[in-house]
Amino acid sequence: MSSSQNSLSVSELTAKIKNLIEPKFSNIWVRGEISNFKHHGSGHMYFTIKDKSSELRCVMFKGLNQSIKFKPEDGMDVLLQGKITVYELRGQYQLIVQLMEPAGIGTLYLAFETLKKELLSEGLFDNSRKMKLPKIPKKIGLITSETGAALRDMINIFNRRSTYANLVLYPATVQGVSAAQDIVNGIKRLSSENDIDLIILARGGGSIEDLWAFNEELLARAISKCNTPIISAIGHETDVTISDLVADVRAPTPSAAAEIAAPSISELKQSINQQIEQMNTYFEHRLNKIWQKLDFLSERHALQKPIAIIDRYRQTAEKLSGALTLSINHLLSINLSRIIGLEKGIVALNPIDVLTRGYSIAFKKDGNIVRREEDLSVGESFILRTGNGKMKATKKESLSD
Amino acid sequence: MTAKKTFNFESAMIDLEKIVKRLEGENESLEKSLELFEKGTKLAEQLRGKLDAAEQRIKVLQKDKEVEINREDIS
Repeated sequence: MSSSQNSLSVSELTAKIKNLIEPKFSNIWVRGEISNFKHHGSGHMYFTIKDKSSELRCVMFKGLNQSIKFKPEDGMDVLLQGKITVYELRGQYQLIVQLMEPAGIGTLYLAFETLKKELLSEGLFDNSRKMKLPKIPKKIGLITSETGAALRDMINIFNRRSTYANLVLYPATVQGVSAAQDIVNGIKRLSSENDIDLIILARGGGSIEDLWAFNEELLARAISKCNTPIISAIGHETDVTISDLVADVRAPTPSAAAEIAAPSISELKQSINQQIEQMNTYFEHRLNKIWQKLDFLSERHALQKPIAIIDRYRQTAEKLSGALTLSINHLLSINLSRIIGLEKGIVALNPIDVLTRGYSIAFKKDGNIVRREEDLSVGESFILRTGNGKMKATKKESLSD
Repeated sequence: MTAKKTFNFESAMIDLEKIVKRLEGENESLEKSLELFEKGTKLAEQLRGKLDAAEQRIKVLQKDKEVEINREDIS
């Protein structure tokens, strides 16, 4: 019995092994960590999965690997479904992968994380990219389900608080395979209408699968490209979607989005009243200045005669002050034109003001004003008051006109 | 390209704020102040009127006019 007679060729043995193995492992699941991952130019993926003590070569062909919802990377813990084949040329066996799922964490979660990472590195979440919301929008576009609670909630808020803003609804499919594309169409449609100055993207709460459309890349890119500011309000406060991250503003709920979008009428009225109040205060302040002038003038002895005039002005000012403190409605233009007259009159009364126009006043030593030439004798000194100061002077001689 | 210049609430609001700021700057003559005040009061009245008269309109867009891509994707 020669061992050479019973010996097999390499091919024969390999074929036997192949026949033994392949039918047994035609549809298996295996879990392991990816290493040596290569996404070849041909589109096929080559990698190894391993655990503590073993390794397994894997191939995932182009046609199948496009369905993977995440980017496989070295170190990733994955579940693979496929069959073992023997590669006779090299005498190696390998796993032909049909399905790849992340092990441990959900596929969707991982897809979310992968896209988030990618968009983050592209800067799509940067604050510098975010548009400011209009303070007071005239027309707001809504993209949400026509029958959903989100729409009902938002309309309630708008009806109660901000009736001045008109609404345009794009009834969208917010769940399922076609949802993301439909929402993208909605964004394109609403942003093409020039008078819409804000868009709200809204959907009520749901599972991660229900909200999935808002985690899709095409929607994220449409949001970031949109020239109209977008508020995203998807699910509950704890749900954060990619749409929320890309949008200009994220609202925790659809109701909150409606509140953020448009100030309430009472807020606006308050701000209008505040402006009026400030104008009122301003004129009160101006009137106070007139008061001060009146007080100043009435104390000047140089003006004996106009005291009566000053008193008249004083009465007018008193009336105006009364009106001002009553209410803003009393501050009508009639009153204001009276303030103008008042201020003008006072300016005319002020002797200093006259002096600044080029006149001077001569005072005798006793303080009396020099009114006639003979009030001063030759050689008598007197004080000359000009607009900006006084000087000492002496009468040298009388001149005839 | 708008045919008619309509009352813009937000810009009217900004105008009002600007008027108040100008008044408070106190560089204006009393005549100018009065003019500003009248303008401001008028604006405030207009703004209040708009708010009181506001009646919300809701328009629902018709999908039929939507781009074709949408239909193809659904089928």
